[in-house]
Amino acid sequence: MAIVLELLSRKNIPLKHFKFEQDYVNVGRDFNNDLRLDDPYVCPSHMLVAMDPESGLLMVNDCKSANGIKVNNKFVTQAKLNPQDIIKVGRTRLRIIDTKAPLAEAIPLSELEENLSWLNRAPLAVALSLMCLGLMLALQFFSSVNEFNLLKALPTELGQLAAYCLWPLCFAVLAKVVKKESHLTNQVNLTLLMFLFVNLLLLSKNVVIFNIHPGAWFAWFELLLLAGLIVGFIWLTLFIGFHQTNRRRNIISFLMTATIVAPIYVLGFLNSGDFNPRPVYDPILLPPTYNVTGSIDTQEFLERTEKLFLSVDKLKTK
Amino acid sequence: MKIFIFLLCLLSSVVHSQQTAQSLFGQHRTALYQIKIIELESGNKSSIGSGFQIDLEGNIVTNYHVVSEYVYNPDKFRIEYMANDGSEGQLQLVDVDVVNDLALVRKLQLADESAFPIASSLPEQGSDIYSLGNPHDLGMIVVPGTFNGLKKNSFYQRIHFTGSINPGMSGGPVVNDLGEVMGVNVATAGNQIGFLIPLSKVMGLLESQHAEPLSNKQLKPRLQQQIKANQQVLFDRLKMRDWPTSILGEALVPANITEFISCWGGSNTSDREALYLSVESRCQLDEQVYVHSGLRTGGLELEFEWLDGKSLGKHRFYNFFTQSITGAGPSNNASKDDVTNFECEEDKVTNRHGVTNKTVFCVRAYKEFDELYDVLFVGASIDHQSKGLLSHYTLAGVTKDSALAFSQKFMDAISWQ
Repeated sequence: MAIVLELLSRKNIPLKHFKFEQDYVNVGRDFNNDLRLDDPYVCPSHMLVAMDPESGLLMVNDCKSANGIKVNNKFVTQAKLNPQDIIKVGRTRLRIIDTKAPLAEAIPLSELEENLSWLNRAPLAVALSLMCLGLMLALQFFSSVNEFNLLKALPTELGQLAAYCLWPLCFAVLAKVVKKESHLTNQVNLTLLMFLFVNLLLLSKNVVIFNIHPGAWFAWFELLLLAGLIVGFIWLTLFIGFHQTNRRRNIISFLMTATIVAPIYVLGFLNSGDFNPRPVYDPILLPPTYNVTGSIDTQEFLERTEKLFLSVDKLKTK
Repeated sequence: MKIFIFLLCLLSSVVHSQQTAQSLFGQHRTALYQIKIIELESGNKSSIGSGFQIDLEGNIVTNYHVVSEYVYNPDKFRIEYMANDGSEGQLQLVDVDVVNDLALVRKLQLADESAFPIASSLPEQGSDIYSLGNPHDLGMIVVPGTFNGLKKNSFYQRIHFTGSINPGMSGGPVVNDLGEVMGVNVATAGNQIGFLIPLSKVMGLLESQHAEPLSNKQLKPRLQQQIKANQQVLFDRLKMRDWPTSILGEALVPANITEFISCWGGSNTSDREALYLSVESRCQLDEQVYVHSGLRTGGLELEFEWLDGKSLGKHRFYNFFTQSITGAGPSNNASKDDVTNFECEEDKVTNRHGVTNKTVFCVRAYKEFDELYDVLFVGASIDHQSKGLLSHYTLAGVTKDSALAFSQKFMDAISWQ
C-alpha cells in the first residue's frame, strides 16, 4: 500500500503530490527525509506518517518538533489520520489522499475544442484587429460630412478597439487566476470576430429595413437575435476559458445574457406606450442600388395610410 | 416759419389725440372690465384679461384665450369681472369663437349698465384708433395708435395696429375716435406692432348675443366644430387651385401655393468648407389657432431641401441624407391629454412624374376633438446616387379627407426638371 500526500497552497489549492511505495514517511527539513520540506518553521526531523500494517490505518507522530503538528487545525502529538485530513507542519500544508476512493468520470473531449483550434493563431489576431480597425474607420468616414482626417480619427478608433479587447483580457486573467491556460489569443480572436459579425448584421439590417419597412415585430426579432448572439458569445468565451460542465456553462451564459438584455428590454419596450410628441419611424435611406423591392404608387400608399386614422382613433380611449 | 407751423401742427395733433383718449376713457370706462379666471381650489386668479360690454343685457366680449382655462376645465374655474369702480361679479360663458380668439360672456346680475357702440365699418387707413385694456393688472389704460388696414395675405383676418398692445390688454376693445368698437386686441408682434381681431369677426360672435349659454358638455364639441369648419375652408382653398412650382436644385417643387402662406428660402453656399450643397425653401401659415396653453392647432408648414453631395460619394451622402430626415417633429404644441401618439406608415412611393421617394406618413388623433388629426409627412427622393430632395409637411387639426387630398396633391406635385 502506498501513502500519497498532496502539497497544498495556503488556500488549499493542490500544488504537487507525492507517492511513497512504503509504510512510513519521514517528513522534515533534513535531506535524509522521505519528504523534504523547504520551510524554516519545520524541524530537520519533524514528523512521521506511518501505516499500521494490520488495520491499514495511517498514523501521524510528532518527532519532538519545535512547532508541533496540527491536524485539521488541532495540535496533536500522535493521531489517526483519515483521508482528506489536512496536516499543518510549520507553514506547510499537506493532505492525506485516499487512493481507493473513486474519482469522477473524465469529461468527454469535445469535438468543438478541436474545431476551434484555428482560433488560437496570433497572425489571425493581427489580421482581425486590422479588419476591425478598418471597419471602424470606414463607418466613421461614411457617417461624416466634413473633411475626413485619418490621423484625427485613428486615435479614438484605436482606443475603442482597445476597450473592446478588455473583455477577452478579463477572461484570460480570470482563467489564469484559476490555474488554467489564459487562451488570450483565442479570446481576442473570438471577440473581434463577434464585433465584425455584429457590424455586418447591423449593416444588413439597414438594407432589410430600407426594403421591407417591417412593423413592430422587427424590434422583437432584433431583441431575440441580440439575446441569441450574446448567449452564444458568452458560451464560447467560457468554453475557451474554463473547463466546466455544459450545464454549468449554459446556466452562466443565460444568466449573464439576461442581465445584459433585461435593461435593454426595460428601456426600449416597457415605456413604448408613453406619450411621445414626435413620431417614431425608420429614417434609413440607401442609394438606389439597394432598392430590391421596388416602389408603389401614390394612390396605393394613400390607401394604406387610411387605416392609420382608424388605429390612432383606437389609441384615444387608452 | 415752416418748421414752426409744422411743430405747431404736430403739437396740436398730440393734444387732440390726448383729448380724445381722455374723453374715451371717461365715456366708456364703466363698460370696460377686467376679466379674471379664478381657480376654485385656491380661490385666486390664474389669469386675467380685458373685456368690454356690448349691450345692456350684460354681454361682454373678450378673448377666447383669456377664458380658455375655463373652457377646458369648467369644474375647476369660474369667470369673474372687475368693473372700473372696483365692483366684482360672476360671469357665465355664452359662446366662443376659438378660431378668431373671441369669447362672449354674460353678467349674472345686472345693475346700471352701459355699453360700447359697435362701428358700422372699418375706418380709413391712417386713422387714429385707440386700444383700451388692462395690462399688467395696473388698471385701465388707453393706447393711441394708427389703423393700418387689414393684415395682407393672411388667412386669419387681422387689423394691423401700430401701437403697443401689452399682455393683459387681450380682450380689450379698439375704438375709433367716435368711441365705436371696431376690433378686439389679440396679439403683439413685437415693438409697436399689434394685431387686432376685426369688426366682422366680432359681428359673427354677436349672433349668439341672445342665445342661451353653452353647457359644460357643449364646450369642446363647439371648439371641434369651429376648428373643423375653419380647416374645411382652408383646405378647400388649397385644393381648388393648381399649385405653381418653382425650381429647387434639379427638382420642381410646389411654392407659394396660396397667397396666405409665406415662403422663405436659404442655402449653405456661403459655407466654403461644406462638402455638400443645401438649398431649402420653407413655407408656412402665419398663425395657429390657440386652443389652450398646451395646445395649438390649425398650422400648416411645407419644407423642401435640395441636397447635393458633390464629392461625398453615394454611401456617405445617403448616410447624411438619413440624418437629415431623422427626428422630424410636429410644428404645433400638444400635450398627452390632447393628442395620441403618432402612428406611421412607410414605404417607397413613385409619384406620377416618376419621382421615387422614401415616404413616411404619420398621424395622431385629437383626444377631445373627433375627426381631427395632426399629420406629419417626410419624403426623401432615392432616384440619384449622391443628391436628393427632402420634402416635408405638417398639418395640424385636419380631417382625414383633407389630409389625404392634400397629401395626394403634395406627393404628385414634385417632379424632376
